[in-house]
Amino acid sequence: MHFGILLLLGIGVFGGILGAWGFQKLRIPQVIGYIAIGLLIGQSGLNIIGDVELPTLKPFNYLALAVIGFLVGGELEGKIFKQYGKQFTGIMLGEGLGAFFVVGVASGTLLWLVTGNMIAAIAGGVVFGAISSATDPASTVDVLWEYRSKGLLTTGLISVVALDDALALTLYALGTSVAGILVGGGVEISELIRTLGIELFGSLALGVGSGFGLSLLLTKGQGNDRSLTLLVGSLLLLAGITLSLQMDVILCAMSAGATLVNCAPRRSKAVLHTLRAFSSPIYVMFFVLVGARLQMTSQPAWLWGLVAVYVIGRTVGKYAGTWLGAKVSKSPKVLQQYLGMGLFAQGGVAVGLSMMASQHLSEVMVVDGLDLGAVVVSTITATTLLVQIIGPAAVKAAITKTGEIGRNVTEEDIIQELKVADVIDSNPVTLQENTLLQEIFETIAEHDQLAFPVVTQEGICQGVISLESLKALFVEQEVWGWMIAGDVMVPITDVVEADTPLADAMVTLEQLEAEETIVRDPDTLHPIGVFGIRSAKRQVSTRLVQKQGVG
Amino acid sequence: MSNPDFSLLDSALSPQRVFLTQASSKEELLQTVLDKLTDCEDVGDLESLRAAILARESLMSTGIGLGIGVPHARISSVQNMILAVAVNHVPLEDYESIDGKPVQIVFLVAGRPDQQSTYVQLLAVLSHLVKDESRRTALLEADTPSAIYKALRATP
Repeated sequence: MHFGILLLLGIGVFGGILGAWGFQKLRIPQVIGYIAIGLLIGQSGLNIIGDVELPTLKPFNYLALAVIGFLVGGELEGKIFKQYGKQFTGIMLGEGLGAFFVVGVASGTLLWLVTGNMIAAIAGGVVFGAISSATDPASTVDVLWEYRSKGLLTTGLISVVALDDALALTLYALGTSVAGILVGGGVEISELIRTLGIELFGSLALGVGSGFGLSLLLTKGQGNDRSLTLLVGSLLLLAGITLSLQMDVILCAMSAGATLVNCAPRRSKAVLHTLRAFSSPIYVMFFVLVGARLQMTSQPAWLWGLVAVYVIGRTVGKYAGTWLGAKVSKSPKVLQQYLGMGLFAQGGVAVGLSMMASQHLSEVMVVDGLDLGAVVVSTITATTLLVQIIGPAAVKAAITKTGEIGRNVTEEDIIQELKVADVIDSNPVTLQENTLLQEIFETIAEHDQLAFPVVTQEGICQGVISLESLKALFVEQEVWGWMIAGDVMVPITDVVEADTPLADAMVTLEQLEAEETIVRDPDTLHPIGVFGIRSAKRQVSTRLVQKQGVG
Repeated sequence: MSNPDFSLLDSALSPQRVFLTQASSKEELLQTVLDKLTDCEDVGDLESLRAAILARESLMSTGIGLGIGVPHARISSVQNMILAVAVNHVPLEDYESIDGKPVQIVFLVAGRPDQQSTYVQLLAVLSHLVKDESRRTALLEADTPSAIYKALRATP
């Protein structure tokens, strides 16, 4: 049965959201839910998205990678690098090379033990090592965003996952050349230069150029709607150009995002915020497709051994390499201890490199009927599935340990969480309805309260008095001795209630041009408290500081 | 307030709502004035107004001193701001004014709850007008409703 492309996208996004919701209930990062749904409806499951549909959806994947790369790049602010550039570079080299060497040696040894073919074993080890050095920025950053993480570890993770793709590409280019020499393909210096030149420096140059161009266009004062259109258009162009020039889309988009955020920091913040909201379904579909693409077909038993060696070697290499890199670069303790935990995810770059390896190494036979290219693709596919489950969970564990979860909140987020009852000034000063005006003025002068509930003897609130409502009587002192609160109060209208969302209540008060209003108990009609914009904002700021914590 | 705001007074008062009364107690005076408003369309529901006026009096007497009473209330059944004036044939000792003096001139004011600002301003205008002793004397000496109306509207 074949589904139309729109229906497939609908099934993917809707199913992904359901999966994420289910996994979130189990306190597992949502990205695993997306991938699980992908597995269910993909090649290894119901085959709704199978080998016929996957190539059709491939362009979508490139767009998704461009958006993801751009957003990750947008997190790379120059001021962070000024402060921690040396440390982050040290850690990136440590974790990347750590994984490269541990995986390279371990997988090479296993290949040699199984096949007895030393050359194929070394070639395989070098390629596996190079691929293992890449960390998936998409799923890592998705976890950080999902849990609103903020702090040194979060910044370090984003920076390292963004940077290590470049290292992986370099190692891969060098690795495949070495593998080529070893298997007798000759030294393909031209190929090496082409790969490094186009894929790495070409992608970076195109990205930086695009980012610079975008910053110029955005500072020309475009509205937010037009800015988003401009950005999406640019990313489509970028994805298309990188694809046709065989460049790395994620690296290119990442450098574009980083250039933009540093050239136009203020303007780009709003645009990136809008793009992030817009990118949500793209993210979901991207990971669903990651799951759908994974093939759990029958493999020789030793290949599962290779999978285990790769995953364990990569985990050990990344963790130990991070620790070493952090130690050598004198990074703060939090980075030494926990950053390695956040670097296990493996995604687009690794899968992409394994696809390239399948072409580069298809001539190298490991055992009868199985070439090294196929071994690489099968192993990377299986390990991707494993580490995409371990990786996000480990990222969550790391940011939980360091207490960075939930710190990336804005005033708007806090406002959205609260109700009027949460910010109300309870026990307000009340005025009896027969209080003389003279006494009312004295009470107002003595208290830092703008609106005063007027209550009957039974405590029922019937109206409100504010200095504003008494303006006309400031000079009419002859009436101060006989007018009472009941005469001058403004009848209460219950514009907000205790369970009104804070955001709605603030809008209502602003529309009424009122500073404060009285909130009543809907049953007893007694005043519960005074709700005011000024006090609400003060409480929101306090909660924001508490949530963001120190550092 | 140097010049009385007669526009506010004019919008609430009509010559038909100026009375000479023969009451012998505060309650009788209030009931008499309210009864005379039976045909006034702006009152809406007379019984509601009666209850509101008496409820306000129960909170605190509206005898504001200098022989003046200002019974007043705001209720939703009132259509437009109403001012009625009554000069009683004798001062009433039981009005419980803030200065302890008997009340002979009464201004009954009624408005809607949402007319808080105009209502308060009208009460302030009345308070200001009756501070003028010659106006009070003219009001007490007036022997017809039109003479009362004229005395009230006279420019000092």
